[in-house]
Amino acid sequence: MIPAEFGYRRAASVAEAIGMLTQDEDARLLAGGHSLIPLMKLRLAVPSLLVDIGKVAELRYVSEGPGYLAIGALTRHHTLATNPLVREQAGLLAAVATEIGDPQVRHRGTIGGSLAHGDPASDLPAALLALDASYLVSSPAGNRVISAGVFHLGFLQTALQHGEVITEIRVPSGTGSYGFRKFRARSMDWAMAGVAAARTPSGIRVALVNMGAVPLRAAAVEAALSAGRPAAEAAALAAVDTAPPADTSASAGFRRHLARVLTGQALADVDAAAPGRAGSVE
Amino acid sequence: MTAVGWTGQPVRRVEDAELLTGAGRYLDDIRLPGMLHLAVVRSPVAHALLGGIDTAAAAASPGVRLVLTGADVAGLSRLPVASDSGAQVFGPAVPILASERVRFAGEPVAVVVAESRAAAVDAAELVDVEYQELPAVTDPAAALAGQVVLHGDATDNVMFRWHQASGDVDAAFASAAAIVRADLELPRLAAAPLEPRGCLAAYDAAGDYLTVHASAQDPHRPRRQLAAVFGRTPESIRVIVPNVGGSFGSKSMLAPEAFATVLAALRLGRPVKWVETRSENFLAAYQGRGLRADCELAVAADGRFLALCARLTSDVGAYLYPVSPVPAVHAGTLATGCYDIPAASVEVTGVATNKVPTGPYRGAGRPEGAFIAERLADLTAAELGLDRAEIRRRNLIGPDAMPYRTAVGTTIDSGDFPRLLDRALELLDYDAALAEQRQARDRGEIYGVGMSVFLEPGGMGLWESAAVSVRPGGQVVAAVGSTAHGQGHQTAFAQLLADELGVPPAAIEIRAGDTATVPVGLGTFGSRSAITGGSALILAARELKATAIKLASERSGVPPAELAWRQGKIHGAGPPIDPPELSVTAGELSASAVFRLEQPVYSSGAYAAIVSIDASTGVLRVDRLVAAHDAGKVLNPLIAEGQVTGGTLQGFGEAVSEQVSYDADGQLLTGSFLSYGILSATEAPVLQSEFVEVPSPLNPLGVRGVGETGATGVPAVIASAVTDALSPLGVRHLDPPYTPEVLHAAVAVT
Repeated sequence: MIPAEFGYRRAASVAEAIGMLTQDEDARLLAGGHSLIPLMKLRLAVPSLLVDIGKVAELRYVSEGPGYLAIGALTRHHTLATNPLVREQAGLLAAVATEIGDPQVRHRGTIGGSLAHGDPASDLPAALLALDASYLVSSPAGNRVISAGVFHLGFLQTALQHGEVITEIRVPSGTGSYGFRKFRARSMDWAMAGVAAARTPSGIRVALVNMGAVPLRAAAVEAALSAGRPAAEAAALAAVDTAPPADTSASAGFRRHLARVLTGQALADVDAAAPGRAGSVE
Repeated sequence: MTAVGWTGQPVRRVEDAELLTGAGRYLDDIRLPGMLHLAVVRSPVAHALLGGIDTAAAAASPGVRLVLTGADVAGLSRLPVASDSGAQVFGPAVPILASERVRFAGEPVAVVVAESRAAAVDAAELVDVEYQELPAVTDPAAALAGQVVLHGDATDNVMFRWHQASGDVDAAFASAAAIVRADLELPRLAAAPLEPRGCLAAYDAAGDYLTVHASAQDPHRPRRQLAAVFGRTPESIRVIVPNVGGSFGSKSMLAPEAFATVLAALRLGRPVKWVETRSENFLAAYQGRGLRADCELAVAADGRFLALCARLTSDVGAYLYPVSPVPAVHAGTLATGCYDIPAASVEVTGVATNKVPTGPYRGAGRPEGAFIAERLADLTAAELGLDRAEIRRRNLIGPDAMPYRTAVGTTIDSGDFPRLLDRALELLDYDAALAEQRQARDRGEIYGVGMSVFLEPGGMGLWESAAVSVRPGGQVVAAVGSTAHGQGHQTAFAQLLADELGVPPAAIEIRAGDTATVPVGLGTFGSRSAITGGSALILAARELKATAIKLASERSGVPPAELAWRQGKIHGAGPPIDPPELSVTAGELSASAVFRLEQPVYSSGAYAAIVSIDASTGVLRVDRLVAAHDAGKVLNPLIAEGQVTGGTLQGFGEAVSEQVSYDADGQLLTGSFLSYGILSATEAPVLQSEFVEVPSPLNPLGVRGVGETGATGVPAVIASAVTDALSPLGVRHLDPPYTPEVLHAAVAVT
């Protein structure tokens, strides 16, 4: 419960944070701290330096960009859940954020932190995958945009290079109805399995929470839907090409079963909502 | 008694304002000048021979003052394991620090004492221990077969045995119309108190006086343990129990780490504090349950129970705490439940496995006993095609049969079990529930109705002490051996004394938890405090009044019969006399008393429930949960209800989600709240509970225990309802926890 010794610096800007990160190979970025600090307390993460961007105001915003909704990386889950712009243009994110952890978690955790941590059991990365989001990343080399589909490389592994900082999450405009379902034995648990589905300009996209080492697209489901198959039939394909974990809370087989059930429910939510309007979320 | 009538009123807990506003003082809040901190080096493997332990780097680490290993504790006595459970005990006591061999993952191997907690934790990582790994055994059946031997030449790994039999069991089985069999298992559980274990030891060499602050259930049992292990007189040891953030039985005994902390303080002459982490609590604090029961019930054609034959196997873990045999033996003595079963043979075997030891956890054998008896009752009903309430009514011990000596040798003092069952079923509206079930099943729903009847013996240990003093102005100070760690004694005991002495509760201070200020007592465990501690207080208060009247009579010449104690003063000899004026030892008038019980006092209760199961996900929903309890005279309905509510949530957790898991190598898989399924308020079922107050004849207050009712009755009632829900699918029995996956599998296989 006591982390190994580490240094701590507070950055006033993104540029300063990048500068601090690049000076130390074992430095880690600290945002809300809800993923990194527990790992440090268990000494599973042993960074030499924490670069705290918690006070970098330029990363905390929600605004309308050209063709997308722009969300600053330090935007907290509570803001996602309550911000009118998010609720209107990316209702799926608001719905997902409402159910993350408990109020304390939602007031500390950030969207950028959730992405950078790269936990496949997190809800936001899968929702962003369903929304076909992309991430603006800054580094000494300049800015680049990484699309959600190639951002997650493995368990707790992302495409971020050392020195790179996620600054903005971009959610394309034009998303219609959506559905989000996750299964938990206890209200504050991580999802045993979860499904985010959204009607996008390119068709219905479906992404899975905790069904593999990374957030997964349910490609077989999407293909069945675009081929005009009924939602129930498509949902039965939700576990195709998944590799869910087996642990004390559920076997891989039960997670596959849940993925199918939840996908059916999420697709029903997408169907039930009028096009262009938010889907119902329980 | 005066007519004030505080007792029985829903007085709000006076403890809460302080605790809820962060003003409580828990162990880790206590800091002594010059205090050092202790960190523990734990075995990463479940079974290994210990090779060399290199402590040089740790000892040289900044701020380190001492490193202790098994060799340093060799001169100390082991914890006594001679148990008063009645079991024949073979297994060795839990060591303070391992020597030669480690037998569970998390076992303490060395401790490091340093100027700060961080320095101690850093240095602990530098202790280099050589482990020569051995195969581990985690399954009690495999352990009994001797695949891996934990201790010496005990090739069957048996740590303790208990057997009780009476009546003609063989004849009953020979004549039985049916024999109902059940193999049941209750998994290990973590008590998971909000505040983990810890202690702070300080030694005054000049006075040869040891002071130990401990997060414990009471100060007296720790003091006796410290005296035994360190070969000191109890008088040279003071134990103080500050506010305690929960225990549920898990702090009945001092932790091995606490003895190491005391040893360090003795060696260094400076205060040493040990406070474990949540991870350590999961790894190394003793766990509850872990019981298998292989049962046969001989039944007559009319459904009457004729004889019980049960073999209980306790997965006791690597070593014994003095209390380790208690829960399983208790389960054995309660396996006949509330039923009139004329013959029984019950065997209990405690088996060593490469896991942390087990011990008491809320209920400590009561939930296990109720689970066995109630499952057998349900299974008998199913086998004979009888209604489950009817099979119970035919077999429950009637109130006119009390006191009733069971075939396993325990005497139930009193109780009205049929009335409790009837009341619970009435609260549920049993007939309507069955009618609704038929309709729900027609709609394809999975709908179950369950019931349980149970016993909760309390007052174990059978005695407690108390002292009561009255000071000028009517201030009363009471000291009692029974120590609250969440039970609300400050409130409830003050209510009792307020009525007995005729003073307001606000004028009464309850002292406990410090061997220097309270008389030698026993403590708080097993639903005993109101029964033994409360009765001792009343006896002390009555003694105080008698003494005051005697002294007043001597001084005034007025005969005692003409004097009376009212509102804290003595009336009848002119102006009212303030009792302290009568005292020769200026300032206060005191009296003390010891209350002794001849046998445990039995509470009882009945639960009934309606559940439904979602076929697509296996999610269990509790639609109704009702209970009727006989806790005797209720001292404070708010506190009693709080006890029932808390126990119900823990019992429900046991039923639906809690389970300690290890892998085959003995590595703990449920080492945090992420993976260990403790429930929160969000998951709590809504309980409709009421008290049926039948005063116990065995104590002056007429009270019975209430602390373990929910934990005891709820697993059995949920099991009853769940198996009932699944019975159309051919399910006869399922062991808890009833997780979504377990229930979904039960639904899906059919």
